[in-house]
Amino acid sequence: MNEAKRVVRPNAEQVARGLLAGFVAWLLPGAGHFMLGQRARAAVFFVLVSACIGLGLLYDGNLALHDKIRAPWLSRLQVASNLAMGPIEPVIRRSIYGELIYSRVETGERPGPVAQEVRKQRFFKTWSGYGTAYFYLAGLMNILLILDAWDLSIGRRR
Amino acid sequence: MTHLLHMAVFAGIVSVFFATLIAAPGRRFKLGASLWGIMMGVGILLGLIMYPMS
Repeated sequence: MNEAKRVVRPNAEQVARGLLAGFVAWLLPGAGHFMLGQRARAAVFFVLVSACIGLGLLYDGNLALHDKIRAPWLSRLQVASNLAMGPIEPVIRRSIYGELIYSRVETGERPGPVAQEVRKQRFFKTWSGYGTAYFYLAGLMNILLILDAWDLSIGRRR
Repeated sequence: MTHLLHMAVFAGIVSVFFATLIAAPGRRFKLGASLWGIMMGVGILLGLIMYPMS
């Protein structure tokens, strides 16, 4: 019964379709599945990821900053998961911090850039931790959607 | 109590997501409900262990 797994290599057309579906899924959550004809699932995914982003904003969530000193790798992964939300991420970042800031600036005793101070103040708001978790969740779900859109495109999943 | 409500919503979103992503159409509800129950159970257990007096 030990049947060897059959390795199916995707052809060039499937790879192109998979890359396009992945990119479209990053642009708009669920759009990759919509493009591949799975419209009901696409709608569910869009609603879920949008709800997470909305709850993140509602609860004063914070977007991650790369911290070279305290957590270089972990903070890099956090920023990556935020960026996976799609092109809306820089829009949200600018709207809540006032500018596009991706790295923590160490200033010692002196106050840091305005955006960094805004972020610090948001951290102490009541539900900020929940909001931050929702932002991470939105990005991480979108990464899985991108990978699923790729798998569907190359025929690895149905 | 508010924390519990937040946890329920969070677990709800995650379980609906995975049920839609992984399960076949007929089995989505069962997987979603199981995931939600497991997440809530583990969450409540951890909460009781970490904050026994609150």
